[in-house]
Order: sequence, then C-alpha cells, then structure tokens
Amino acid sequence: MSIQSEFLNFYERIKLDYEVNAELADKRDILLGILRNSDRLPGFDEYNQGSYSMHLGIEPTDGREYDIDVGLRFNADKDDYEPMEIKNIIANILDGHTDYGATIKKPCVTVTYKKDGEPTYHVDLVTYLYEDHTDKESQLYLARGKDSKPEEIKWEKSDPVGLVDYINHKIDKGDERDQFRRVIRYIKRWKNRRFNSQGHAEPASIGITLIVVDNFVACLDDDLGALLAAVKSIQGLFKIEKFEDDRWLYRLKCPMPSILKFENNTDAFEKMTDIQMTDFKEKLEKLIRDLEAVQGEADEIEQCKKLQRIFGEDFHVPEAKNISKIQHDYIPPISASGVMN
Amino acid sequence: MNILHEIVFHDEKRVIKITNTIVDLLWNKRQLIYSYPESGGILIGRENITNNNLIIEFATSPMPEDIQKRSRFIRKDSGHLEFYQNLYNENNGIYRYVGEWHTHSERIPEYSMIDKKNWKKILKNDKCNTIQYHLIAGLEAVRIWKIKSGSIIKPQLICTQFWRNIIK
Repeated sequence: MSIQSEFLNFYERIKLDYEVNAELADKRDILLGILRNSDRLPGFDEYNQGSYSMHLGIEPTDGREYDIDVGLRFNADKDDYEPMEIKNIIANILDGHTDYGATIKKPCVTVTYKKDGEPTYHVDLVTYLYEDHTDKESQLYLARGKDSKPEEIKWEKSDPVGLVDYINHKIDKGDERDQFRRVIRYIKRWKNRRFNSQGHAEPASIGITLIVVDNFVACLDDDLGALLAAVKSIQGLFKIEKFEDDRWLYRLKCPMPSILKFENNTDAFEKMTDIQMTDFKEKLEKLIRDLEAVQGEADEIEQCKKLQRIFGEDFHVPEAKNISKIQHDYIPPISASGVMN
Repeated sequence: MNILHEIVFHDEKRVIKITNTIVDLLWNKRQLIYSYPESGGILIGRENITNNNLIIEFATSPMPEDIQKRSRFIRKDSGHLEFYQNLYNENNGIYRYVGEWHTHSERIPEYSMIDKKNWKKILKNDKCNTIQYHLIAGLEAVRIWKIKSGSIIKPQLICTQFWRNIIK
C-alpha cells in the first residue's frame, strides 16, 4: 500500500457510478415518460448534463441528496413561448407525482423523492428552446426565472451540449483524464464538507471544473501532487475586489469558454457574494496548507490521518502492520556510553 | 511549557522522523546543571514498505538498574529489552531496534571513544541490520550518526538540529 493506493481506494468509495445507481436513472426515465406522454408539451430530446454526463459525480455526504440533471431540448422556438410557460406546464404535469411535487427554481424544475421519510433524490429538469427548432444547430435558450421574481425571468443563451463536450474532451482520454476526474471528485468531496449547501455559500462545481480542466497538470501516480497543483491553480486566480469593514474582499471570475455559445459575461460564480467568495479563498488557502503538510509528512499513517481530517471517514487510515516492513528481532542486551574519567 | 517540533531529516533517499514525544523526552533529560547525570535508552521505529521512510516512534527512559553518572550511562536494566520485545511481539514484528540515545553535557555533542566502540559492537552483533542510527542530545543541539557495516566502520554524522529550531 502507499498513499496513492489510499487515494485510489478513497476515490472508489466516493465516486458516484450512475450506471450502478439504477434507481436514480429509473426515476429520471419515469418522469421523462410522463412528460413525453403529455399532449400539453411540445416534443423534446433529453440530454444528460451536470456531473452525470461529465463523469464527475460523487456520493452525497450526510444531509445532501443524490441528484441528476436532465436537459430537455424542446422542439419549439423561444419566440413562441414565454420563459415560464413551459416550466409551469412541466411543474403542473408533475405536481403530485411525489410527496414533494415539482418545484420551480430559477434554472430548472426540481422533482424530489424521499426514502424512509427523508428527501433522498432529486431530478433537475432544465428547459431549453431553440432559436429555430428546425435547425438543431441554432442557438439554445435556457428558460431562467421563477414567477416570484419576475424581474429575473428571461431567455438566456446557453450551450449545455458544448459545455459537456468541452469538459469531456479538453484532456485526452487516458491516464491524464482519469486523474483529472479523480482530482475534481476529491475537490468536490472537500467542498461538500466545508460549505453549507443552502444558499450560494458553496462555490459552483462547474466553475471549479472549468478552471481545473483549463489548467490541469497531471502528476503520474501522484494524485496528491495533482490535487495540490489544481487547488493552487484556482487560488491563484482570485483578485482583490474591494476593501470593506476593515478587510479586503476578493473575487474569482470564471467566464464560460469563449468558443461556446453562452450569454456574454456569464460567470460560473456570479451568485456568490464578495464575502462568500473571500471565505472560499480562505478555505482554499487552508486546504493548500493542509495538503502541503501531508506532502511534508514522512509517516504514511500520519499522512492518511491528515487526509482523513480533510476528506472525512471515507479516506481510510491503514493499520501500521499493513504498510510497514517486517523487521528481524534484535536488541543489544547492554549498552555503555560516556567518557573515561 | 515548550511545545516541541518533531525532528525530520534525510538520509540518502529516505526521510527519517523522530516523533515529538521522543523530542520531548530528550529536551527534559538535557544535562543543564552539573548535578544532572547522563541519561540514555533505546530508539525503536518502523519503516514504510513503499518509500523506506523510518519513523522513530518510541524511546525508553533511564530505568532503576541502569547506571547514571555525570559522564557515564550504562543501560543494563532489562526493562528496556522487555519494552522492545513487547512492541515487537504485539505488532506483528514491524518495530525494529534503531539505535541508542544518550545525553552529553556539551553544547554541540560529539561522540566519545566509548560511544564509538559501543556503537561498533552493537552493529557487529546484529547479524541482519546493516544500518543503525544513534543520537546524542547536547545542551544546544541534537545530533544523529549513522553507522553501517562495510570495510571501514565509522559513524557518519547525518543530522544536527539546534534546540532553538525545535522549540515552537
């Protein structure tokens, strides 16, 4: 065993394998079947987006839910609908499907399932319409907003397919891409443990993923080194925003790749406040210090204890007998030191 | 109360760590005033399979049957052996005898002729281990020598750590 083996074992524990997690895929398929059979909606093509499609999902930690993001590209033109129109129809059709019904959120319609009385799964249905639905290459628009905030309702240029392709193919298939996917999942587990999932305190995974994919430096057989380099690449992009209440506040901006067809100036972290951003920066800096301490530690057991403090119980600490050499049995019965008087 | 760092140093390609529990023991046994006798004991550690790093994790303290004088320490209490043997037996044989430690009343310690003779004898009697590490704690520094089998057996100084850099 080595610390790299422990990282790989940790990875196997946190990796969310959607093919294995058939329950979630079944929920998705049932919902899509209901929508497809409704005569109130135009036809659509579904598209898996989010961590599912990028092979970057992780097992949720306590208090968080499994989720799956499904993009619905309707065979309709955005000029023929108001942004809330189709979202409302979807929510209406699915209302009563689960105890929680369907909730309209700004970017999607969310259907939550519970198991043993607790919310366990949710499926996010993201609605897109075309500029011109007879041309599948034409611009897609995301139906953004909810009725309670009418000023934020809009059709927003979006490129969900391009985004998934970008992340999946920026790094060539092979050892390097495998390591990139592991590193993102390690960062996500750290993030889930360090940030509150309510509100926007937690930095968006897509922003982190984009920064790391653009700056990734692979370290052969050294996930610790690759992870540290990735975290430093994020931390290095923070810029001073302003001085307020006796402290400097920082921001990190992550625009969508310019080759993709998103709205101009779309920033993956735009929802976070300057204070939340500065908190993110401070937590990253602590992570860097902690990972450097792991690198500087000679004892494999202590290394794993430090990593367990960062990543939680899924990172196991091996027993000394499994990582240490067997020694021969020798001890000198007597020993003398000092100087002649 | 002083909080002490562990001692970490390199020997060829391996990293060697002396845990802060041992550093604490050495700090407390320094011969700061004339009446303090020389102290000593054994060092016990384990080695990682993957990178050969050595973690010196345990050290024994002077025991009743040992002889302690101002410039003399003779480890003869069987308690040292029992401590080692229990560790060895109860942990699947992963702990090894690493070497001896003792104190000197000099600022920067040097080994004496008696020390050198003792270390060579210990190495000679060990039929399997080819490398041992011996430590002397002085008033201002801790020093570690390596001794290994070969045509010329001579202790090689591999680490000098000043107390001022060990105290947090």
